[in-house]
Amino acid sequence: MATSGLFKPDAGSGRRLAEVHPALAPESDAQLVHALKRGEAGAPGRLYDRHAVGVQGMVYRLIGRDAELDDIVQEVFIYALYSIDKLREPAALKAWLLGVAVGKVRSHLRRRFRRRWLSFLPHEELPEPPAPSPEPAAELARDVCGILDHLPADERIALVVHRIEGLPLHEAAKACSMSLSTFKRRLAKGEARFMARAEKHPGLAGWLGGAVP
Amino acid sequence: MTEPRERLFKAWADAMANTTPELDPRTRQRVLAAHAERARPRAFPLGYRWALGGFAVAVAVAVLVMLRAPAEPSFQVAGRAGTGPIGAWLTAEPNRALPLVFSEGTQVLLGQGSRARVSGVTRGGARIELSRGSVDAEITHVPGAHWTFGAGPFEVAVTGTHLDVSWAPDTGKFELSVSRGSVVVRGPFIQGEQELRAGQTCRVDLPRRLMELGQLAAEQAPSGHTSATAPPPPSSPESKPEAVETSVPSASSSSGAPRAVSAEAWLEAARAARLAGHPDEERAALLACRRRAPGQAAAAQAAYLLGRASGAAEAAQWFETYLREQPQGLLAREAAGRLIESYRASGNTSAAQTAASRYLARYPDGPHAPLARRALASRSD
Repeated sequence: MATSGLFKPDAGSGRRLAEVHPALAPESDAQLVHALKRGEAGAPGRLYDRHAVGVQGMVYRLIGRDAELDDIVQEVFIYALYSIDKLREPAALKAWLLGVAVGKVRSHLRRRFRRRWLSFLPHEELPEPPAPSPEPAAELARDVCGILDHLPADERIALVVHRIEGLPLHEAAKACSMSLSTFKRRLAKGEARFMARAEKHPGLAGWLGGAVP
Repeated sequence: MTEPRERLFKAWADAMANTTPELDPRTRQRVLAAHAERARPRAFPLGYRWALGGFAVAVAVAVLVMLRAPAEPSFQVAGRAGTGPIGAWLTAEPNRALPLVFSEGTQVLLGQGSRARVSGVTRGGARIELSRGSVDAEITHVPGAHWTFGAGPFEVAVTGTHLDVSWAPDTGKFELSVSRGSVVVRGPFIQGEQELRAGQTCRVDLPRRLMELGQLAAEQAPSGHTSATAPPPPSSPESKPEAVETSVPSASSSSGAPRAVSAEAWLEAARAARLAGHPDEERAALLACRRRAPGQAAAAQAAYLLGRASGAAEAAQWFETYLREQPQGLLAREAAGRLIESYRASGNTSAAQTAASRYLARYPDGPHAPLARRALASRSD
Protein backbone atom coordinates (compact mmCIF):
# COMPACT_ATOMS: atom_id res chain seq x y z
CA MET A 1 0.00 0.00 0.00
CA ALA A 2 1.41 3.31 -0.93
CA THR A 3 1.79 5.76 1.82
CA SER A 4 2.04 9.46 1.59
CA GLY A 5 4.79 11.42 3.21
CA LEU A 6 2.34 12.76 5.69
CA PHE A 7 1.35 9.40 7.07
CA LYS A 8 3.55 6.81 8.70
CA PRO A 9 2.01 3.46 9.55
CA ASP A 10 3.91 3.29 12.81
CA ALA A 11 2.68 6.64 13.97
CA GLY A 12 0.06 5.13 16.19
CA SER A 13 -0.97 8.18 18.21
CA GLY A 14 -2.37 11.58 17.43
CA ARG A 15 0.60 13.11 19.17
CA ARG A 16 2.97 11.53 16.70
CA LEU A 17 0.76 12.48 13.77
CA ALA A 18 0.87 16.02 14.97
CA GLU A 19 4.59 15.93 14.88
CA VAL A 20 4.34 14.99 11.19
CA HIS A 21 1.79 17.62 10.19
CA PRO A 22 -0.27 19.96 12.35
CA ALA A 23 -3.36 19.38 10.24
CA LEU A 24 -3.49 15.79 11.42
CA ALA A 25 -3.39 16.71 15.10
CA PRO A 26 -6.58 16.33 17.10
CA GLU A 27 -8.54 19.52 17.12
CA SER A 28 -8.08 21.42 20.36
CA ASP A 29 -11.01 23.04 22.18
CA ALA A 30 -9.68 26.45 21.19
CA GLN A 31 -9.60 25.44 17.53
CA LEU A 32 -13.08 24.04 17.81
CA VAL A 33 -14.34 27.29 19.29
CA HIS A 34 -12.76 29.28 16.48
CA ALA A 35 -14.41 26.94 13.98
CA LEU A 36 -17.76 27.50 15.68
CA LYS A 37 -17.29 31.24 15.66
CA ARG A 38 -16.44 31.11 11.97
CA GLY A 39 -19.66 29.19 11.36
CA GLU A 40 -17.90 26.11 10.05
CA ALA A 41 -20.49 23.56 8.96
CA GLY A 42 -19.38 20.49 10.93
CA ALA A 43 -18.28 22.30 14.07
CA PRO A 44 -21.56 22.01 16.04
CA GLY A 45 -21.56 18.24 15.57
CA ARG A 46 -17.95 17.99 16.69
CA LEU A 47 -18.73 20.07 19.79
CA TYR A 48 -21.54 17.73 20.73
CA ASP A 49 -19.57 14.55 20.01
CA ARG A 50 -16.65 15.69 22.10
CA HIS A 51 -18.48 17.00 25.16
CA ALA A 52 -21.92 15.43 25.26
CA VAL A 53 -20.87 12.50 27.45
CA GLY A 54 -19.16 14.77 29.97
CA VAL A 55 -22.06 17.19 30.11
CA GLN A 56 -24.62 14.44 30.41
CA GLY A 57 -22.65 12.73 33.18
CA MET A 58 -22.41 15.91 35.16
CA VAL A 59 -26.09 16.70 34.71
CA TYR A 60 -26.93 13.17 35.81
CA ARG A 61 -24.76 13.47 38.93
CA LEU A 62 -26.47 16.75 39.74
CA ILE A 63 -30.09 15.75 39.26
CA GLY A 64 -30.08 11.96 39.23
CA ARG A 65 -32.33 9.89 37.05
CA ASP A 66 -34.81 12.41 35.80
CA ALA A 67 -37.19 12.41 32.89
CA GLU A 68 -35.78 15.75 31.81
CA LEU A 69 -32.14 14.68 31.76
CA ASP A 70 -31.87 14.60 27.98
CA ASP A 71 -33.79 17.85 27.67
CA ILE A 72 -31.31 19.62 29.92
CA VAL A 73 -28.36 18.27 27.93
CA GLN A 74 -30.06 19.47 24.79
CA GLU A 75 -30.63 22.93 26.30
CA VAL A 76 -26.98 23.16 27.32
CA PHE A 77 -25.73 22.56 23.80
CA ILE A 78 -28.31 24.74 22.11
CA TYR A 79 -27.39 27.57 24.44
CA ALA A 80 -23.69 26.95 23.94
CA LEU A 81 -23.95 27.01 20.17
CA TYR A 82 -26.05 30.13 20.26
CA SER A 83 -23.80 31.94 22.73
CA ILE A 84 -20.39 30.76 21.65
CA ASP A 85 -19.38 34.35 20.91
CA LYS A 86 -19.63 35.09 24.64
CA LEU A 87 -16.84 32.63 25.39
CA ARG A 88 -13.76 34.81 25.88
CA GLU A 89 -11.22 32.05 26.49
CA PRO A 90 -11.63 29.42 23.77
CA ALA A 91 -9.33 27.03 25.63
CA ALA A 92 -11.71 27.04 28.58
CA LEU A 93 -14.52 25.50 26.54
CA LYS A 94 -15.04 22.53 28.83
CA ALA A 95 -15.24 24.61 32.00
CA TRP A 96 -17.59 27.00 30.25
CA LEU A 97 -19.86 24.14 29.19
CA LEU A 98 -19.92 22.87 32.77
CA GLY A 99 -20.89 26.36 33.92
CA VAL A 100 -23.72 26.43 31.39
CA ALA A 101 -24.83 23.00 32.56
CA VAL A 102 -24.81 24.10 36.20
CA GLY A 103 -26.97 27.08 35.28
CA LYS A 104 -29.48 24.93 33.44
CA VAL A 105 -29.55 22.41 36.28
CA ARG A 106 -30.10 25.18 38.83
CA SER A 107 -33.10 26.40 36.84
CA HIS A 108 -34.41 22.87 36.56
CA LEU A 109 -34.06 22.18 40.28
CA ARG A 110 -35.89 25.36 41.15
CA ARG A 111 -38.63 24.48 38.69
CA ARG A 112 -38.86 21.03 40.21
CA PHE A 113 -39.00 22.51 43.71
CA ARG A 114 -41.88 24.78 42.73
CA ARG A 115 -43.64 21.92 41.01
CA ARG A 116 -43.39 19.88 44.19
CA TRP A 117 -45.62 22.46 45.82
CA LEU A 118 -48.21 22.06 43.15
CA SER A 119 -49.48 18.88 44.74
CA PHE A 120 -53.02 19.97 44.07
CA LEU A 121 -52.43 19.30 40.38
CA PRO A 122 -53.76 16.01 39.01
CA HIS A 123 -51.09 13.34 39.23
CA GLU A 124 -51.02 12.72 35.51
CA GLU A 125 -49.53 16.19 35.06
CA LEU A 126 -46.52 15.36 37.25
CA PRO A 127 -43.59 13.29 35.93
CA GLU A 128 -43.57 9.59 36.68
CA PRO A 129 -41.11 8.68 39.44
CA PRO A 130 -38.31 6.37 38.23
CA ALA A 131 -38.78 2.67 39.01
CA PRO A 132 -36.57 1.27 41.78
CA SER A 133 -33.63 -0.82 40.62
CA PRO A 134 -32.41 -3.97 42.39
CA GLU A 135 -28.69 -3.22 41.69
CA PRO A 136 -26.73 -1.92 44.71
CA ALA A 137 -25.11 0.93 42.79
CA ALA A 138 -28.46 2.05 41.46
CA GLU A 139 -29.92 1.73 44.94
CA LEU A 140 -27.15 3.89 46.43
CA ALA A 141 -27.57 6.45 43.66
CA ARG A 142 -31.28 6.57 44.31
CA ASP A 143 -30.83 6.95 48.08
CA VAL A 144 -28.29 9.74 47.65
CA CYS A 145 -30.46 11.58 45.16
CA GLY A 146 -33.39 11.20 47.54
CA ILE A 147 -31.42 13.12 50.17
CA LEU A 148 -30.13 15.65 47.68
CA ASP A 149 -33.72 16.44 46.78
CA HIS A 150 -34.11 17.96 50.25
CA LEU A 151 -31.16 20.34 49.85
CA PRO A 152 -31.41 23.85 48.47
CA ALA A 153 -30.35 23.93 44.82
CA ASP A 154 -27.15 25.91 45.36
CA GLU A 155 -25.99 23.71 48.24
CA ARG A 156 -26.74 20.57 46.28
CA ILE A 157 -24.83 21.82 43.27
CA ALA A 158 -21.85 22.89 45.39
CA LEU A 159 -21.69 19.50 47.04
CA VAL A 160 -21.88 17.51 43.82
CA VAL A 161 -19.58 19.70 41.76
CA HIS A 162 -16.80 19.57 44.33
CA ARG A 163 -17.25 16.22 46.10
CA ILE A 164 -18.52 14.03 43.28
CA GLU A 165 -17.46 15.81 40.11
CA GLY A 166 -14.09 16.41 41.74
CA LEU A 167 -13.53 19.99 40.58
CA PRO A 168 -11.08 21.96 42.72
CA LEU A 169 -12.70 24.63 44.86
CA HIS A 170 -11.86 27.63 42.72
CA GLU A 171 -12.94 25.88 39.49
CA ALA A 172 -16.11 24.64 41.12
CA ALA A 173 -16.90 28.13 42.37
CA LYS A 174 -16.35 29.51 38.87
CA ALA A 175 -18.59 26.86 37.32
CA CYS A 176 -21.29 27.76 39.82
CA SER A 177 -20.86 31.50 39.13
CA MET A 178 -20.09 32.13 42.80
CA SER A 179 -17.25 33.74 44.68
CA LEU A 180 -14.95 31.30 46.37
CA SER A 181 -16.12 32.31 49.84
CA THR A 182 -19.78 31.96 48.90
CA PHE A 183 -19.08 28.60 47.34
CA LYS A 184 -17.32 27.41 50.48
CA ARG A 185 -20.25 28.49 52.63
CA ARG A 186 -22.74 26.71 50.40
CA LEU A 187 -20.56 23.62 50.30
CA ALA A 188 -20.23 23.51 54.09
CA LYS A 189 -23.95 23.95 54.64
CA GLY A 190 -24.85 21.44 51.96
CA GLU A 191 -22.44 18.86 53.27
CA ALA A 192 -23.70 19.28 56.83
CA ARG A 193 -27.31 18.89 55.76
CA PHE A 194 -26.47 15.91 53.61
CA MET A 195 -24.56 14.13 56.35
CA ALA A 196 -27.27 14.79 58.91
CA ARG A 197 -29.84 13.13 56.72
CA ALA A 198 -27.49 10.36 55.56
CA GLU A 199 -26.82 9.34 59.15
CA LYS A 200 -30.53 8.77 59.64
CA HIS A 201 -31.06 7.06 56.32
CA PRO A 202 -31.20 3.26 56.70
CA GLY A 203 -29.55 2.68 53.34
CA LEU A 204 -26.68 5.10 53.94
CA ALA A 205 -26.07 4.97 57.68
CA GLY A 206 -23.98 1.84 57.22
CA TRP A 207 -21.43 3.74 55.12
CA LEU A 208 -20.94 6.19 57.93
CA GLY A 209 -20.92 3.71 60.75
CA GLY A 210 -17.69 2.00 59.76
CA ALA A 211 -19.15 -1.12 58.24
CA VAL A 212 -19.59 -1.21 54.53
CA PRO A 213 -23.03 -2.51 53.66
CA MET B 1 -15.67 10.37 60.89
CA THR B 2 -13.80 11.80 57.88
CA GLU B 3 -12.91 8.39 56.51
CA PRO B 4 -16.45 6.99 56.39
CA ARG B 5 -17.62 10.25 54.87
CA GLU B 6 -14.99 10.07 52.13
CA ARG B 7 -15.90 6.44 51.62
CA LEU B 8 -19.52 7.38 51.13
CA PHE B 9 -18.65 10.12 48.67
CA LYS B 10 -16.47 7.73 46.69
CA ALA B 11 -19.16 5.07 46.64
CA TRP B 12 -21.64 7.74 45.62
CA ALA B 13 -19.40 8.89 42.74
CA ASP B 14 -18.87 5.31 41.61
CA ALA B 15 -22.56 4.55 41.81
CA MET B 16 -23.38 7.57 39.67
CA ALA B 17 -20.67 6.66 37.16
CA ASN B 18 -21.92 3.09 36.93
CA THR B 19 -25.52 4.09 36.50
CA THR B 20 -25.19 6.95 34.04
CA PRO B 21 -27.78 6.28 31.37
CA GLU B 22 -26.97 5.95 27.68
CA LEU B 23 -26.97 9.14 25.75
CA ASP B 24 -30.06 9.33 23.59
CA PRO B 25 -28.85 9.66 19.96
CA ARG B 26 -31.91 11.74 19.13
CA THR B 27 -30.60 14.50 21.42
CA ARG B 28 -27.73 15.13 18.99
CA GLN B 29 -30.17 15.41 16.09
CA ARG B 30 -32.38 17.78 18.02
CA VAL B 31 -29.46 19.99 19.02
CA LEU B 32 -28.13 20.24 15.48
CA ALA B 33 -31.60 20.78 14.03
CA ALA B 34 -32.31 23.56 16.52
CA HIS B 35 -28.96 25.17 15.79
CA ALA B 36 -29.53 24.98 12.03
CA GLU B 37 -32.98 26.53 12.47
CA ARG B 38 -31.56 29.41 14.47
CA ALA B 39 -28.67 29.95 12.11
CA ARG B 40 -30.90 30.04 9.03
CA PRO B 41 -31.38 33.60 7.85
CA ARG B 42 -35.01 34.53 8.09
CA ALA B 43 -36.69 36.09 5.14
CA PHE B 44 -38.26 39.34 6.19
CA PRO B 45 -41.89 39.40 5.06
CA LEU B 46 -42.74 42.15 2.62
CA GLY B 47 -45.32 43.63 4.99
CA TYR B 48 -42.72 44.05 7.70
CA ARG B 49 -40.37 45.70 5.24
CA TRP B 50 -43.03 48.21 4.33
CA ALA B 51 -43.87 48.81 7.99
CA LEU B 52 -40.20 49.28 8.82
CA GLY B 53 -39.76 51.64 5.90
CA GLY B 54 -42.80 53.64 6.97
CA PHE B 55 -41.52 53.84 10.51
CA ALA B 56 -38.13 55.04 9.32
CA VAL B 57 -39.76 57.74 7.20
CA ALA B 58 -41.93 58.82 10.15
CA VAL B 59 -38.87 59.07 12.40
CA ALA B 60 -37.02 61.07 9.75
CA VAL B 61 -39.96 63.47 9.37
CA ALA B 62 -40.25 63.85 13.14
CA VAL B 63 -36.54 64.63 13.41
CA LEU B 64 -36.83 67.14 10.58
CA VAL B 65 -39.80 68.85 12.22
CA MET B 66 -37.97 68.99 15.53
CA LEU B 67 -34.93 70.49 13.86
CA ARG B 68 -37.02 73.07 12.03
CA ALA B 69 -39.17 73.92 15.04
CA PRO B 70 -38.01 76.98 16.89
CA ALA B 71 -35.99 76.19 19.96
CA GLU B 72 -36.89 77.65 23.32
CA PRO B 73 -35.43 81.13 23.30
CA SER B 74 -33.17 82.31 26.03
CA PHE B 75 -32.60 85.94 26.77
CA GLN B 76 -30.02 88.28 28.10
CA VAL B 77 -30.51 91.38 30.12
CA ALA B 78 -28.46 94.33 28.94
CA GLY B 79 -25.50 94.98 31.18
CA ARG B 80 -25.72 91.62 32.92
CA ALA B 81 -23.68 88.53 32.21
CA GLY B 82 -25.20 85.17 31.46
CA THR B 83 -28.70 84.06 30.59
CA GLY B 84 -31.57 86.07 31.97
CA PRO B 85 -33.48 84.53 34.86
CA ILE B 86 -36.91 83.03 34.16
CA GLY B 87 -39.55 84.20 36.61
CA ALA B 88 -37.47 86.87 38.33
CA TRP B 89 -38.84 90.40 38.33
CA LEU B 90 -36.76 92.96 36.46
CA THR B 91 -37.02 96.66 37.16
CA ALA B 92 -35.69 99.36 34.87
CA GLU B 93 -34.05 102.36 36.50
CA PRO B 94 -36.25 105.48 36.72
CA ASN B 95 -34.26 107.33 34.09
CA ARG B 96 -33.16 104.46 31.88
CA ALA B 97 -34.90 101.77 29.82
CA LEU B 98 -33.83 98.16 30.19
CA PRO B 99 -33.40 96.05 27.01
CA LEU B 100 -33.94 92.29 26.96
CA VAL B 101 -32.54 90.49 23.92
CA PHE B 102 -33.85 87.04 23.08
CA SER B 103 -31.82 84.39 21.34
CA GLU B 104 -34.12 84.23 18.30
CA GLY B 105 -33.86 87.95 17.72
CA THR B 106 -36.81 89.37 19.64
CA GLN B 107 -36.04 92.53 21.55
CA VAL B 108 -38.08 93.73 24.47
CA LEU B 109 -37.46 97.11 26.03
CA LEU B 110 -38.69 97.77 29.53
CA GLY B 111 -39.63 101.43 29.78
CA GLN B 112 -38.07 103.70 32.39
CA GLY B 113 -39.07 102.59 35.85
CA SER B 114 -41.05 99.63 34.50
CA ARG B 115 -41.25 96.30 36.26
CA ALA B 116 -41.73 93.05 34.38
CA ARG B 117 -40.59 89.49 34.20
CA VAL B 118 -40.19 86.71 31.70
CA SER B 119 -42.39 84.16 33.41
CA GLY B 120 -41.80 81.33 30.98
CA VAL B 121 -40.38 80.36 27.63
CA THR B 122 -41.74 77.86 25.13
CA ARG B 123 -40.48 76.58 21.81
CA GLY B 124 -42.38 79.33 20.07
CA GLY B 125 -41.73 82.31 22.29
CA ALA B 126 -42.14 83.50 25.81
CA ARG B 127 -44.58 85.04 28.24
CA ILE B 128 -43.81 88.44 29.66
CA GLU B 129 -45.74 89.82 32.59
CA LEU B 130 -45.80 93.55 33.08
CA SER B 131 -46.34 94.59 36.65
CA ARG B 132 -46.20 98.31 35.90
CA GLY B 133 -44.87 100.65 33.26
CA SER B 134 -44.42 99.77 29.63
CA VAL B 135 -42.69 97.42 27.28
CA ASP B 136 -41.77 97.97 23.67
CA ALA B 137 -41.43 94.63 21.91
CA GLU B 138 -40.06 93.85 18.49
CA ILE B 139 -41.08 90.24 17.99
CA THR B 140 -39.12 88.31 15.40
CA HIS B 141 -41.55 86.49 13.16
CA VAL B 142 -40.50 82.85 12.94
CA PRO B 143 -42.76 79.86 12.12
CA GLY B 144 -44.70 78.79 15.18
CA ALA B 145 -43.84 81.91 17.14
CA HIS B 146 -46.22 82.65 19.98
CA TRP B 147 -45.67 85.40 22.51
CA THR B 148 -48.01 86.56 25.22
CA PHE B 149 -47.95 89.61 27.39
CA GLY B 150 -49.84 89.94 30.61
CA ALA B 151 -50.56 93.41 31.93
CA GLY B 152 -52.78 93.34 35.01
CA PRO B 153 -56.11 91.90 33.88
CA PHE B 154 -55.19 92.29 30.19
CA GLU B 155 -53.77 89.65 27.92
CA VAL B 156 -52.05 90.29 24.62
CA ALA B 157 -51.17 87.45 22.25
CA VAL B 158 -48.85 88.06 19.33
CA THR B 159 -47.04 86.14 16.64
CA GLY B 160 -44.69 88.54 14.90
CA THR B 161 -45.05 92.24 15.37
CA HIS B 162 -43.89 95.44 16.94
CA LEU B 163 -45.99 96.65 19.80
CA ASP B 164 -46.01 98.81 22.88
CA VAL B 165 -47.86 97.77 26.00
CA SER B 166 -48.25 99.92 29.06
CA TRP B 167 -50.10 99.27 32.28
CA ALA B 168 -50.52 101.52 35.30
CA PRO B 169 -52.09 99.52 38.13
CA ASP B 170 -52.50 102.54 40.37
CA THR B 171 -54.62 104.41 37.83
CA GLY B 172 -56.10 101.36 36.09
CA LYS B 173 -54.98 102.52 32.65
CA PHE B 174 -53.93 100.14 29.93
CA GLU B 175 -52.65 101.03 26.53
CA LEU B 176 -51.59 98.96 23.58
CA SER B 177 -50.31 100.17 20.25
CA VAL B 178 -49.29 98.03 17.32
CA SER B 179 -46.73 99.34 14.84
CA ARG B 180 -46.48 96.22 12.71
CA GLY B 181 -48.28 92.89 12.43
CA SER B 182 -51.35 92.13 14.49
CA VAL B 183 -52.22 91.15 18.03
CA VAL B 184 -55.20 89.87 19.96
CA VAL B 185 -56.05 91.51 23.25
CA ARG B 186 -58.45 90.41 25.97
CA GLY B 187 -59.48 92.08 29.19
CA PRO B 188 -62.06 94.16 31.01
CA PHE B 189 -64.27 96.29 28.77
CA ILE B 190 -63.03 94.41 25.73
CA GLN B 191 -65.79 92.19 24.49
CA GLY B 192 -64.37 88.78 23.74
CA GLU B 193 -61.12 89.10 21.87
CA GLN B 194 -60.16 92.29 20.13
CA GLU B 195 -57.78 92.07 17.19
CA LEU B 196 -55.54 95.04 16.61
CA ARG B 197 -53.72 95.53 13.33
CA ALA B 198 -50.75 97.68 12.44
CA GLY B 199 -51.38 101.34 13.24
CA GLN B 200 -54.14 100.70 15.77
CA THR B 201 -54.21 101.43 19.46
CA CYS B 202 -56.38 100.25 22.29
CA ARG B 203 -56.80 102.13 25.53
CA VAL B 204 -58.75 101.05 28.56
CA ASP B 205 -59.42 103.26 31.53
CA LEU B 206 -60.82 101.06 34.25
CA PRO B 207 -62.03 103.77 36.66
CA ARG B 208 -63.83 105.58 33.86
CA ARG B 209 -65.12 102.33 32.29
CA LEU B 210 -63.72 103.48 29.02
CA MET B 211 -62.30 101.53 26.13
CA GLU B 212 -61.02 103.37 23.12
CA LEU B 213 -59.82 102.02 19.81
CA GLY B 214 -57.74 104.50 17.88
CA GLN B 215 -55.08 105.07 15.26
CA LEU B 216 -51.45 105.73 15.84
CA ALA B 217 -50.27 109.26 15.02
CA ALA B 218 -48.56 109.61 11.65
CA GLU B 219 -45.11 109.65 13.17
CA GLN B 220 -45.84 106.36 14.88
CA ALA B 221 -47.31 104.69 11.83
CA PRO B 222 -45.90 101.30 10.78
CA SER B 223 -42.21 101.77 10.25
CA GLY B 224 -40.58 98.38 10.69
CA HIS B 225 -37.85 99.85 12.82
CA THR B 226 -36.57 98.35 16.00
CA SER B 227 -37.50 100.88 18.56
CA ALA B 228 -35.20 101.34 21.50
CA THR B 229 -36.96 104.25 23.05
CA ALA B 230 -39.40 104.16 25.88
CA PRO B 231 -43.02 104.31 24.74
CA PRO B 232 -44.92 107.49 25.31
CA PRO B 233 -47.12 107.60 28.36
CA PRO B 234 -50.81 106.75 27.85
CA SER B 235 -51.75 110.40 27.88
CA SER B 236 -49.18 111.32 25.26
CA PRO B 237 -50.64 113.48 22.52
CA GLU B 238 -48.86 111.38 19.89
CA SER B 239 -51.19 108.52 20.51
CA LYS B 240 -54.37 110.41 20.96
CA PRO B 241 -57.13 108.20 19.65
CA GLU B 242 -59.81 109.18 17.24
CA ALA B 243 -62.40 109.00 19.98
CA VAL B 244 -63.85 105.64 18.93
CA GLU B 245 -65.67 105.09 22.18
CA THR B 246 -67.45 101.83 22.56
CA SER B 247 -70.74 101.40 24.36
CA VAL B 248 -69.27 100.01 27.53
CA PRO B 249 -71.50 100.83 30.49
CA SER B 250 -70.32 102.60 33.55
CA ALA B 251 -71.84 102.31 36.96
CA SER B 252 -72.59 105.98 37.07
CA SER B 253 -74.80 105.65 34.02
CA SER B 254 -76.43 102.47 35.12
CA SER B 255 -79.71 104.05 35.99
CA GLY B 256 -80.16 105.28 32.47
CA ALA B 257 -78.34 102.57 30.61
CA PRO B 258 -78.82 102.63 26.91
CA ARG B 259 -80.68 99.66 25.48
CA ALA B 260 -77.74 99.00 23.15
CA VAL B 261 -75.58 97.93 26.07
CA SER B 262 -75.79 94.21 26.46
CA ALA B 263 -76.28 92.35 29.72
CA GLU B 264 -72.90 90.69 29.17
CA ALA B 265 -71.27 94.10 29.01
CA TRP B 266 -72.77 94.95 32.41
CA LEU B 267 -71.40 91.72 33.79
CA GLU B 268 -68.01 92.60 32.36
CA ALA B 269 -68.25 96.05 33.93
CA ALA B 270 -69.07 94.46 37.27
CA ARG B 271 -66.05 92.20 36.96
CA ALA B 272 -63.81 95.15 36.17
CA ALA B 273 -65.19 97.08 39.12
CA ARG B 274 -64.48 94.17 41.40
CA LEU B 275 -60.94 93.90 40.06
CA ALA B 276 -60.47 97.61 40.60
CA GLY B 277 -61.73 97.24 44.17
CA HIS B 278 -64.98 99.22 43.78
CA PRO B 279 -67.72 97.07 45.33
CA ASP B 280 -70.40 99.74 45.07
CA GLU B 281 -69.85 100.11 41.38
CA GLU B 282 -69.81 96.36 40.97
CA ARG B 283 -73.17 96.18 42.67
CA ALA B 284 -74.56 98.98 40.52
CA ALA B 285 -73.43 97.22 37.35
CA LEU B 286 -75.01 93.96 38.46
CA LEU B 287 -78.29 95.62 39.28
CA ALA B 288 -78.19 97.34 35.90
CA CYS B 289 -77.61 93.98 34.30
CA ARG B 290 -80.72 92.60 35.96
CA ARG B 291 -82.76 95.53 34.77
CA ARG B 292 -81.33 95.21 31.27
CA ALA B 293 -82.08 91.54 30.79
CA PRO B 294 -84.84 90.38 33.10
CA GLY B 295 -85.47 86.66 32.89
CA GLN B 296 -82.27 85.97 30.96
CA ALA B 297 -79.38 83.82 32.06
CA ALA B 298 -77.17 86.90 32.44
CA ALA B 299 -79.63 88.41 34.90
CA ALA B 300 -79.65 85.21 36.95
CA GLN B 301 -75.87 85.22 36.92
CA ALA B 302 -75.98 88.80 38.16
CA ALA B 303 -78.24 87.63 40.99
CA TYR B 304 -75.71 85.01 41.94
CA LEU B 305 -72.88 87.57 41.85
CA LEU B 306 -75.00 89.96 43.91
CA GLY B 307 -75.46 87.17 46.47
CA ARG B 308 -71.74 86.67 46.59
CA ALA B 309 -71.14 90.37 47.07
CA SER B 310 -73.87 90.98 49.69
CA GLY B 311 -74.29 90.51 53.42
CA ALA B 312 -75.69 87.21 54.70
CA ALA B 313 -79.39 88.08 54.87
CA GLU B 314 -79.53 89.77 51.49
CA ALA B 315 -77.23 87.17 49.96
CA ALA B 316 -79.75 84.44 50.81
CA GLN B 317 -82.42 86.32 48.84
CA TRP B 318 -80.16 86.64 45.81
CA PHE B 319 -79.26 82.96 45.90
CA GLU B 320 -82.95 82.09 46.17
CA THR B 321 -83.52 84.33 43.17
CA TYR B 322 -80.87 82.55 41.16
CA LEU B 323 -82.26 79.12 42.04
CA ARG B 324 -85.75 80.24 41.14
CA GLU B 325 -84.67 81.67 37.79
CA GLN B 326 -82.09 79.04 36.86
CA PRO B 327 -82.89 75.85 38.82
CA GLN B 328 -80.77 73.81 36.37
CA GLY B 329 -78.16 76.52 35.83
CA LEU B 330 -74.43 76.00 35.93
CA LEU B 331 -74.23 77.77 39.27
CA ALA B 332 -77.24 76.04 40.83
CA ARG B 333 -75.27 73.67 43.05
CA GLU B 334 -72.98 76.42 44.28
CA ALA B 335 -75.94 78.75 44.84
CA ALA B 336 -77.78 76.06 46.81
CA GLY B 337 -74.74 75.53 49.01
CA ARG B 338 -74.14 79.21 49.56
CA LEU B 339 -77.80 79.58 50.40
CA ILE B 340 -77.29 77.28 53.41
CA GLU B 341 -74.24 79.29 54.44
CA SER B 342 -76.15 82.57 54.14
CA TYR B 343 -79.13 81.40 56.19
CA ARG B 344 -76.86 79.98 58.87
CA ALA B 345 -74.78 83.15 58.96
CA SER B 346 -77.90 85.28 59.29
CA GLY B 347 -79.21 83.08 62.13
CA ASN B 348 -82.20 81.77 60.20
CA THR B 349 -81.90 78.17 61.37
CA SER B 350 -85.17 76.84 60.03
CA ALA B 351 -84.53 78.28 56.57
CA ALA B 352 -80.99 76.87 56.68
CA GLN B 353 -82.39 73.42 57.48
CA THR B 354 -84.91 73.64 54.67
CA ALA B 355 -82.15 74.67 52.27
CA ALA B 356 -79.97 71.85 53.62
CA SER B 357 -82.73 69.27 52.97
CA ARG B 358 -83.13 70.52 49.42
CA TYR B 359 -79.39 70.46 48.89
CA LEU B 360 -78.93 66.89 50.14
CA ALA B 361 -81.88 65.65 48.12
CA ARG B 362 -80.28 66.98 44.99
CA TYR B 363 -76.54 66.87 45.69
CA PRO B 364 -75.92 64.18 48.33
CA ASP B 365 -72.21 64.13 47.45
CA GLY B 366 -71.85 67.85 46.75
CA PRO B 367 -69.18 70.02 48.32
CA HIS B 368 -71.67 71.54 50.77
CA ALA B 369 -73.14 68.15 51.78
CA PRO B 370 -71.18 68.01 55.08
CA LEU B 371 -72.39 71.51 55.96
CA ALA B 372 -75.94 70.53 55.06
CA ARG B 373 -75.75 67.47 57.33
CA ARG B 374 -74.44 69.59 60.17
CA ALA B 375 -77.32 72.01 59.64
CA LEU B 376 -79.83 69.17 59.82
CA ALA B 377 -78.10 67.60 62.82
CA SER B 378 -78.54 70.81 64.77
CA ARG B 379 -82.32 70.33 64.31
CA SER B 380 -82.24 66.83 65.84
CA ASP B 381 -80.20 68.18 68.75
